[in-house]
Amino acid sequence: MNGREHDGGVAGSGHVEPGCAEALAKLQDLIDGELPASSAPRIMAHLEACPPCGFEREAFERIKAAVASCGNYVDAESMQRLRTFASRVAEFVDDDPS
Amino acid sequence: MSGEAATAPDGSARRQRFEELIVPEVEFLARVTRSMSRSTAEAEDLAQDALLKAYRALDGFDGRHPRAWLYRIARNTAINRDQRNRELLLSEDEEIDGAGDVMAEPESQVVGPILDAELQTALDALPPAFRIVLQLVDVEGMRYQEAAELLDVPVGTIMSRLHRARNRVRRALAGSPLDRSRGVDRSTEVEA
Repeated sequence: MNGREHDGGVAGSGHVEPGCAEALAKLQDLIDGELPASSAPRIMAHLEACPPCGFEREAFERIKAAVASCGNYVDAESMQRLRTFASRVAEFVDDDPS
Repeated sequence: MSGEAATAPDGSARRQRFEELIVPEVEFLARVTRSMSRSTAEAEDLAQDALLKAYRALDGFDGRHPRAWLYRIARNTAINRDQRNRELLLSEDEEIDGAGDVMAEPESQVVGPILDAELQTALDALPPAFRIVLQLVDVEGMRYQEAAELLDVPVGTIMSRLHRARNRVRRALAGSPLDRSRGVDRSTEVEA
């Protein structure tokens, strides 16, 4: 549990709020839209009520959004070269005497 | 000329299939090869190689799921180029470079507004097997099951790598000026 414990409970005791462990374990599934409908309301309710867990959700949602934005970027010149190459692949292969 | 005339119909059909099936996936190919590579130049070279192989192999392709087919060609090409890629792209071992996996302390590592350059650096530092999962789920929007089928790994492996990859990205960005930590004592952060 180390690293998944909040400081929000008894200071220094490593106390975990009820529901935190489950919420954190399922946080990635939640932000990826993979959480089963049966457990989603319970997890959502906990994230709303528990600031540390809500903070975790915010952090990972921000990372996911940033990765999506960054990973979707392809250098425009590189993309153009690749498109041109794709349009000429047949020439390269079919005209290759080897 | 007679030989050319005899092969022309096949060549023409292949070109048409390539245009219909593969060319629409070029942007996808560019993105995934970038996630398999350490630089734009390397990714471009890999993508071109994959396109050549795809064209040559097109006659044996049944035409179903061209995106997955093209991805596998690119992945195999990457693996054949670099033994390290073989280890990292094919491994189902959950201990991939595991020394870097440390859970973030709640509230201790929070990513603020992220500059693309910093994030790209963090992504480039990930093992390819982690990077590609982020690419497929976060960028391409695949479901866990879809990504698992494409990579030939269990869904649990996708979930695990995804979580670990995000933790690494988070940690990599935590020390940057963009980190929006809330003054939590970082002495609790343990680096294995």
